[in-house]
Amino acid sequence: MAVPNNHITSVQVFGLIVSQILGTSFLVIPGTVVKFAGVDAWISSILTIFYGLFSGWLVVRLFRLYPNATLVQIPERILGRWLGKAVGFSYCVFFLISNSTVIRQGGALITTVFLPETPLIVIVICYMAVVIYVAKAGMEVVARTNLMLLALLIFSVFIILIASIENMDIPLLPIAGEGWKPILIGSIAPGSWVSQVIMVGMVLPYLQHKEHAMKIMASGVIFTCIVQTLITIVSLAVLGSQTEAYLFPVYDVAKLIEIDILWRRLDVMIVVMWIAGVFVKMAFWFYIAVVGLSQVFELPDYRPLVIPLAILSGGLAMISAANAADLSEYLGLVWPFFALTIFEMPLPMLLLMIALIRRRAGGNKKPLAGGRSNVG
Amino acid sequence: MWVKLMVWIVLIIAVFLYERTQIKKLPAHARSRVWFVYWVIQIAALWPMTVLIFELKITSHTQFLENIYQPLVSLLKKK
Repeated sequence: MAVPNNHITSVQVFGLIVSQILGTSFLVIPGTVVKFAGVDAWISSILTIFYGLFSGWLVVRLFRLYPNATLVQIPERILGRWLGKAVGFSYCVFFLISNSTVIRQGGALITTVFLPETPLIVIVICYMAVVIYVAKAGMEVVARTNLMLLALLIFSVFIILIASIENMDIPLLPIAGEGWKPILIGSIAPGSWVSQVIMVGMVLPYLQHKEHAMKIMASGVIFTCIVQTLITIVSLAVLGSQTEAYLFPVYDVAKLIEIDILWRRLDVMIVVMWIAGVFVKMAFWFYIAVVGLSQVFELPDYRPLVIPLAILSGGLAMISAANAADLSEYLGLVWPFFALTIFEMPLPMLLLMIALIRRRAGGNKKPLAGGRSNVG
Repeated sequence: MWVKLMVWIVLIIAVFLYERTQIKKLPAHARSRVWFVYWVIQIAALWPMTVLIFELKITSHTQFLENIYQPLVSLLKKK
């Protein structure tokens, strides 16, 4: 039976969480973490579970207080019309900036490794054309496409992990040899990526079984962190501390696989995974940015904004980094702070505190009456 | 440069003409608000597009964020 156009299932939300975090991080995160934590990078990856669970918990708690409002509508209910709209709008800007980074990342591997002669703009236009189509089609199409491509992504990750076992000959010892400080610092970048789970706040009001929100969020975060940890362990065990020297360590791990005549050149799978991962992530971030904007400005339909916002997003992607190395530095050092210090934790935490204080004071006891929905 | 500029102008006009037909289908009271947001986005797009077309060396949004978070980044780099 077809699901109504503005409702998504628990499995679809789980899929969105996994692909939004894993979609691009699987290729670049090992290098970023090893830079700080060395051979203990896998411990940093495990620690990211706490970042994800905490951010997710904040958003789900807010959702339970305001079950019909999305993440950009909730601030308006808590802080009042204008301040709330400003906070909601800032979330849209965050989604847009993150989306442009994902687009730039998508182009980075392709122009660096596979199509070095092709101008970046060609790749960006190709990506944006598909994203415009999917965003105009609505949330259900985004969620279904995501689920289909996620299966491919996870399958490919596991094939590469299993096929790499033969090349894993570097011991991951000593454990915490340089103390816990580098491990904690190393967990910041992947932690900020896992905390992207807050984006689930944009789709929770359309979830069919709202009572399962916390379970879905937690299982999505834990599953993603386990896969991310396995990827980090394999990268470390194959490339050792040299992992940090590679821009795309997993790609180099895949290139080393040569089991027999059939099991070689698995780096092609990385291309497929990368294109699929970037596409689903880009489509979703773009979708929530455009829907968020239409909700902040209380528009009856988000579709007229899709193409102009795609032009803006593509333009921002083009100017965001001069080359893949610059982008890697930005993603490993700047974006994590930008996301973690404002949007992923402090802002939801502040909103939750104010909402709880207001409830206790008796000012906002009633659950929110139907939030305006302009999701297609 | 001029070719890029022409392509962009044609794109803006094409998008405008297409979206005009879409926005006409919306309820009358909401059209002005949709047009407002539409033009705000188009004006915001002027910045990256101008940088791209004229190949200007202006601080991008990523460099702006990099400058803001510089103290924290240098702290991290020191480990």
